[in-house]
Amino acid sequence: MISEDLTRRYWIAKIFYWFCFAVAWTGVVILGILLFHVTREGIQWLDFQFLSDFPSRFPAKAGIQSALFGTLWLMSFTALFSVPIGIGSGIYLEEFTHKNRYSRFIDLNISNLAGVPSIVYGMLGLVIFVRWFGLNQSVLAGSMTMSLLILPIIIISTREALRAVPNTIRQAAFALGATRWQTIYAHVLPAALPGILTGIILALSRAVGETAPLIMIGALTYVAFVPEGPMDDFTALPIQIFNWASRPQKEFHELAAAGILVLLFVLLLMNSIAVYIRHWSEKRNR
Amino acid sequence: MNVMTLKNFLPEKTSMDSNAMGKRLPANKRALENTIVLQAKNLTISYSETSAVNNISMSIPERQITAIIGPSGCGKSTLLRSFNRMNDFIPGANLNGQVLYRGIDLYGCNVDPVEVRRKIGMVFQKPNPFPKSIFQNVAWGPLINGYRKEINERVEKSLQGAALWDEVKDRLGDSAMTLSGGQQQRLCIARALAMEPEIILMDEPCSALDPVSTTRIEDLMFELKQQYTIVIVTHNMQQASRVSKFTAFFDAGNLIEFGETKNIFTHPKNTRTEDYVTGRFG
Amino acid sequence: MKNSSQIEASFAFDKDVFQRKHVKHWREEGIKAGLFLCTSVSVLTTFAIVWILVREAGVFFQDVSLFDFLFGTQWTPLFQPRSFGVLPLVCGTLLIVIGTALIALPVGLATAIYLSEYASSRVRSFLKPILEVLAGIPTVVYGYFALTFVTPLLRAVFPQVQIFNAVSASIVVGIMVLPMVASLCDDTLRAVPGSLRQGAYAVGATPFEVTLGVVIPSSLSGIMAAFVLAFSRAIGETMAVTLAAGATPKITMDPFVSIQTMTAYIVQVSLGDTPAGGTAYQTIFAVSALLFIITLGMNIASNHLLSKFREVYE
Repeated sequence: MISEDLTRRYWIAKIFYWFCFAVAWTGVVILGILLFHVTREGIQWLDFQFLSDFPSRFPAKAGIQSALFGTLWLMSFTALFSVPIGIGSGIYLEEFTHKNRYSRFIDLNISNLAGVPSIVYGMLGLVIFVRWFGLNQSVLAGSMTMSLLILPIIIISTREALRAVPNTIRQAAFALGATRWQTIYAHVLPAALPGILTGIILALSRAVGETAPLIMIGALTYVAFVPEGPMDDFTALPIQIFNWASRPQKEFHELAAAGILVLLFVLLLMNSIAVYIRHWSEKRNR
Repeated sequence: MNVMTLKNFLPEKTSMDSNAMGKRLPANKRALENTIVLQAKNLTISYSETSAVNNISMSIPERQITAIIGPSGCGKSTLLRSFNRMNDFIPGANLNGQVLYRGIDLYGCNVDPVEVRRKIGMVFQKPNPFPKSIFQNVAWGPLINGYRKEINERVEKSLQGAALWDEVKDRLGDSAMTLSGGQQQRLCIARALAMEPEIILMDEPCSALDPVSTTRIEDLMFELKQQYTIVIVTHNMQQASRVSKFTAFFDAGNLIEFGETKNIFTHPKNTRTEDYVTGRFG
Repeated sequence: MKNSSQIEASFAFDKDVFQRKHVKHWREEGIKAGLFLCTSVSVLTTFAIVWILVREAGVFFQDVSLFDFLFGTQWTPLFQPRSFGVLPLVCGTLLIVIGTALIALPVGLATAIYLSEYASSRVRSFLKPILEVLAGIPTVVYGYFALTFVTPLLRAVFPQVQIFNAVSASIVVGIMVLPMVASLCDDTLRAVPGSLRQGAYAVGATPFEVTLGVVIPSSLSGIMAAFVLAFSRAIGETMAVTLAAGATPKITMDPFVSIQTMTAYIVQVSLGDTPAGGTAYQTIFAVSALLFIITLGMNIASNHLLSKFREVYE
């Protein structure tokens, strides 16, 4: 009787294993399907003309140049604002405070901000940057809104990178008569830099794909020019994709797919840089 | 005058008859006062309610090796760290009493701990070189404190002082992480020497090393003591009896006995001391 | 830079040898102050969000009573006859959340179990990055996928599915949220000490029994935290539902029809030309406020559950 029961239990264990196995690899399958579908739909439209044209009512003439450049402008300014503030906050919170009430309050604050839906950030940007600051639908307003969105990500990953630096390094530096900042600047930051850079790229990748906040601040969906200054109106890749996908015509859906391919390529590029940084830093530490 | 000759950087110590302020002492105090460079007076250190060091008073004589021995967790490292204000980094650490460096209270209100650590250096239990080149490891301390001139000579002198120069002179640009454990520890010693401290605190410097490296570092200590005061915490009694002139025996945060090493180990006055050095506990 | 006599002088013993060096000190304090200022940005952000929501929603609630808003069943703020009951939007969001949960939670947990209990490290090093890629794909891409692949597929099987429907959106949001659930559960399961598992194996349990009987119960609060976080993300999801779920708010449990979520409504108004300042326009702030409160509550709950888990194992 015991062996009967054992056989049954073994079978259950096996089935369970195969179930988990199948489910886990489903994710890979789904990714494959998604990429295949997008490529199949969009590849026909992907050519140099697509990259250099502006959007148009006629699918054959529509292109993505304004969106591509808009995204580049947006990302540059977003990095400009969010990176120094994010790293600075991370350094202060990790290196300069003990566990007191204020630091715990900030911790709670940041983890809550990380979970706020992006559309609420859009609303924040609308009221403060577009109206109050009078920036209208400019690159500046968009990038400041995006910066607030990704700031918690940068802070959290900076803190993790700093935490990973062994404390013995700091102790050694202090024992030589160094101040906190001298220690951080000369030893802790360089050691944490790969982790920090990876976190920044992750955060910027997130910003590249975000649409809702930009819609809320009024980034236009039909922009036929490239921004030339931070106060210019702009559009961005995800907005252009959204715009095309919202239209009923099949050609525009295919254009959306082509736009997605460009967007995915940009993301692939960014993540490759992150992987490269990680490898380079590991080699450096040999 | 060659500025970089290490001897020139030692404090004015022309005669045994002047105290820390350069004033001449009355005769009965001369010989005694001058040999004390570091002093703990009624020192109590506690970490959030639990006391690690209980009301101890002891004096560290100059240019000798003083060992602090005792079982694990008896407060030796805490005491050592209080000498160069490294306990400041531990939240909840509380200090009562005084730590005097040539009569100056290290915990006085106008004292900058950063400056204290320039004069009182430290070598840690596990070698912790910076993940930079050998040269940068030794040069960083002096550089951030403003000594830019003739930094190469300073680095060379420090590495020679740590008996490491011959092994690394051709590869100063190599990463410090390529050195062996014993070499790394000597690098850490060179790093401390580069600041030209007066006192070097060593917290179980050989416990993470193999016996050969340990011997080399003990030999190094004998050379160093001619110019520096060394205070070493060790749980290795044989090491204490080999290298030190004076020994302090600690147990559970209390200073049980202090005296010349040969006396502590051959005829200790306290039975607890005797139990420890004969291996009955600890 | 010091010359030789200055160096000698500083080492010749003087009472002020340990004096604070002023320039160095003030530079250090200045840097510290600058860094502190950086942290104030995130504090200000939170206050700004709360203040704006309160203020703008307050304008709305001058015209519409809170009761009508929270419990009304008709949502027609943009055309006559105007009605401001938010329940249809909440219902739409709920439908999406339920659908997402049905997909992401079991699949995510099973994936995590596979990764932590069964998979070799080679498999892990392949599978985990794939999951990260899935997580990194922008939501607008998922919306597109729902609209152009999932919906036609569903309609081929179930002809009664409308062009805009809740189920396609739920499916893709589920796929989107799945990596997060898998990753969090994986971390949680791996934090359970090996000794616990070994004890169970030692009495002759199969891997299935060990997982179900020992590992999962020990990591329950961590798993629940992951689930709550998944809900929170599904609630806040915008682009996929805007593209695929529709713009017709209604109270229904039928996943095959077009609905509208809170987030999709906000996008609709932003894209349209409702005049700013009017009650109709201020609805976006009222809905945002509701959205914010719900997700904030879920995030706090999730953090609380996670800290309960960490208490035990760290």
